[in-house]
Amino acid sequence: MKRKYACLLTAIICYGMSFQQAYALPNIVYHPPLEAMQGRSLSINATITDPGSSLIQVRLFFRTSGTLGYRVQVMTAAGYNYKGQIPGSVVLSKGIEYYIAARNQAGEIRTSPVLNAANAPHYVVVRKAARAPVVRLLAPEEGAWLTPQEAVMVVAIDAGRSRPDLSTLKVILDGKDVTNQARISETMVSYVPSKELSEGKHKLQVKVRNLDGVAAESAPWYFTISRSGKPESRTEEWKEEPAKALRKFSGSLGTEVQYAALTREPKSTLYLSRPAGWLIRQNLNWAGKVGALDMLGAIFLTDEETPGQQPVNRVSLEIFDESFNFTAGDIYPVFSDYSISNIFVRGGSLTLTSGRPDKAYSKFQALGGMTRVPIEGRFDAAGTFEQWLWGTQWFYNFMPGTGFSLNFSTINDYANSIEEDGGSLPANNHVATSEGRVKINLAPSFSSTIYGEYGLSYYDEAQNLLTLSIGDAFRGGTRWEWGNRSSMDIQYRHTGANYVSLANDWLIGDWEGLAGNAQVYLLDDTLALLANMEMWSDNLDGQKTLTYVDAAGTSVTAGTTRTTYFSGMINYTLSNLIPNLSAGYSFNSQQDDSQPGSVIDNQTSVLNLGVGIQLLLDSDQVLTNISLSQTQYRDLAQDKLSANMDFLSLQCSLIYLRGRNWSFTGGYGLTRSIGDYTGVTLTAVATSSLVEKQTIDYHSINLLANWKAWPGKLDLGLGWENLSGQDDTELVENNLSTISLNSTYYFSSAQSLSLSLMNISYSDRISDINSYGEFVTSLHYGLNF
Amino acid sequence: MYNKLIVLTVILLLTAFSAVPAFAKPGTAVKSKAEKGIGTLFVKNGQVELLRSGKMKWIKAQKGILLFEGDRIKTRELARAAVILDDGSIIRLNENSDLLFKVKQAKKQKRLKLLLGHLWAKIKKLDRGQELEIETPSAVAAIKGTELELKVLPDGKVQLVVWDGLVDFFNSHGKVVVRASQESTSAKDQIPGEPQKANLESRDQWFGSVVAIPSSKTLKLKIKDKDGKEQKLDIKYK
Repeated sequence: MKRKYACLLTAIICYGMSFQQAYALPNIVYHPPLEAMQGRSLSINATITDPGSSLIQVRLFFRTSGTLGYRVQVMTAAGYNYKGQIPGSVVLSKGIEYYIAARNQAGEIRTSPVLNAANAPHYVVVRKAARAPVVRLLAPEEGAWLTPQEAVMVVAIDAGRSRPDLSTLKVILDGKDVTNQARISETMVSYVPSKELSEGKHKLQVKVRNLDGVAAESAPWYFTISRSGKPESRTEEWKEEPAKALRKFSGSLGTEVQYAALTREPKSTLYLSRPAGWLIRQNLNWAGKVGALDMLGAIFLTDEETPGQQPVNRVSLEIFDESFNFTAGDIYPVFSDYSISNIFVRGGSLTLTSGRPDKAYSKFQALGGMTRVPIEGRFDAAGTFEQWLWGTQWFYNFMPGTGFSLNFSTINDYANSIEEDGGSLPANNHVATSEGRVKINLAPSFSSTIYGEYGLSYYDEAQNLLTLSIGDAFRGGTRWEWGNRSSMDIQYRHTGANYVSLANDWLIGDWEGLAGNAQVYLLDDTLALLANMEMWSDNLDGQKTLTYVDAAGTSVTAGTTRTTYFSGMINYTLSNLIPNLSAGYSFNSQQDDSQPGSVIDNQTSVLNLGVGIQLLLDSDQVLTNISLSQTQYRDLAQDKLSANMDFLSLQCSLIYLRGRNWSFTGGYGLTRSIGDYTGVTLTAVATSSLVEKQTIDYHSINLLANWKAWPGKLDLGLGWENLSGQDDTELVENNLSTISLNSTYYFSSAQSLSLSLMNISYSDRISDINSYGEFVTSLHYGLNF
Repeated sequence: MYNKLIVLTVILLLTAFSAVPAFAKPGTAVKSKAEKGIGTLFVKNGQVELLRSGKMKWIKAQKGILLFEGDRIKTRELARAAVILDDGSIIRLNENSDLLFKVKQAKKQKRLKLLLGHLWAKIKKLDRGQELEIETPSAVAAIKGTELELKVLPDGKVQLVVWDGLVDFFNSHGKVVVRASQESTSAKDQIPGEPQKANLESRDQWFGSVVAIPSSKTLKLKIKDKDGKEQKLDIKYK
């Protein structure tokens, strides 16, 4: 009897955990910044946890607001912290749009923003960087002859619309930094030498950046100290310092060596933040000229790459001018929605353009390389990436917004996964699409565009025409644009059952439906209203069967012909205000038409509220963000696989910049997950239905203090982060705590050495085999050239 | 659930809004590096004192000290001082003078107040829309880029001498325009006097001597005689 109960209990726990896994999407904690600076890269840091299964990859999609295609980047992980960087070339005055997508091993994707992220992404206002500060010498006059007693140096700083960043101020007399002895204010700096200056010529120089990071460096000023004053007959020849020759290349080099030691070895490595042992990361970025062409290069090398993972080692080299672009390394080509999109390629791309985008414009692009998509069924084998992609595009615009493109792509799967691994990837998949658009300018800032794309895909698995499979797809719609960046888009999409485009790994086939979205910005972009609607149905035509266990414990197989999906959302933001407010509501539902009754019948609604405040207090600055979201999931198919779940999330963050040497960051997050699994049945063997409720609380706290202990020479940082989860059914009780200490020593403005120590402790009181302790030591050397 | 959410949201918003005045600290008088210096004391001969804005106690002013809005600077007997403003203008103070750096009312306005004594100012040419006014007990001198002298006389009258440029000299009773090589005198409750020709050559050019004096009280000079031989000359003074 006891054994029977034990079996039942085990079954319940296993079911509870598997159920939890099925619904446990990755959890993204991310607070968008209030603004970005034009031309400056923007760092995106998110904390992402995945209670169900380990994350495969986190991607950052970004674009300049008003452009169509997203660029993508794989975010790098350090524990739960994921980092990405939007390059400065994208950060333009129109603003930046981006979203984060995390995918786990179960193939589930969670995005931030939560719903419809691609159409309603995060938006960050981009502010023009203020001009460089102007530094003027007020006293002594250039070339003056002074007695030692007259040596009072006074400098005026005019930072324009911005403010000077006094932590970057340097007063240099005869090559020696005397900043610490200077009297400093935002507009004036004075320096009186503590000892009499020696007779002879002296050089004074002042450097400062503004809060936008724009640097100003005064030309060197010269004056002469003489006890006898300026001799009447003497003329001094001021020798200008030879101007430094412009360097042909500039960039940065970084080398990081990490060693992770296990202080407590787990029996399961499921939650281990990183494997024990050595890890090396090398980073080189440079920009320069090759003849008349510009050149950009980036190399990121590490020994972290593993089969089944997207590229970690990254190399890219770009040589370009206005009409020519050659890129080698990791590229992310985008042709169109139905041809090449959403896929990484490691290879090369050549683009030739003629004309300018604001006039008649044509572009030809040819690319080829190895796709970075793991081959189905071969995740653990070496040589996982065995697909090669070739593609060409010819794009022609008769005038801005009006033109066409022809796209062609082929993917060869040398892994031959269908034959060898029971996969579903065809050996050779070809896709050809044509896309056209006509833009009509109805008024100076009001236009309408009609667009469409038609695509054909074909593959012949056995290469004998008997296995030839052809599919087609179509999408068409209209887009209205007005004002600075308001728009409305309505699109119909149809993807045929046999249409396969392996060059867009997130393309959903065999669907049709309508999508519409509108973004309306009012009051000089201060007030934004974003609305989105999608209505889709998959046309399975009776091909699909679903098997489930009904309330009586009987296994039932039902056929479906159509699943409809509907979603809508509205977002409301008030920016440029104190406080910054945002609110959003989204809704989606899914329903199938299987008989008897629906197997899929659920609704999800999400309500978001956010408040952000930025305050300037003399030299101090305070930034706070509070966001609240409530997600409600209701499964209406109560007698099938069903559950009701609620998520309530509160996230608070505070950044306090104290003077010019201290910064404090703190954050608290609470996510409460309330599950009601009423009506769930286990298996045909366990005939009794279960009534189970589970509430899990996830708390996250982080505190970080940074101190410029020796300004310009030594920075110190101390951080603590704690993530914990606990439920009321004794299935979840874990805690992850990280303490880190960072120190950076600057040998000069070009060279630095950082030492970072991090202690990670994970305890899982339910499954102690997962508990571990890890101590990570990291040494990083950086060189700017 | 929604009711709880609404209550929580209202609390959060109220907290957020109530935080604004708590953080803002209007009218704070704390001196910090972030404050905007408007001048620097760059010559100090004799006893020069400084009263910081919002403070009650005069302190000894040191050479190189930064001056902020609301500060007052005072020269004692036989003392002289020179202040360089953030636009490069220079103000020299004669002995027994008291100058206040007033809090400006408009962004492009700069206003000084000569409470007592005698000053000479060489004002850099101002940008369009910028104003520099020196207030005195009986009139205001609005300066548009010039050299001038202002002296508060023992009887409360104020004498303005314009060495170069143009000055609007006014009070609540009226205004006169004083041009180069002219002078005017104002008294309380009277329109400033009609500008008269000033005899500049006969005036005491005290401001030319507002230079740094060696603290060692010995000026050591090296000179070359007619044979080219270097000779040392020490001048001692009190």
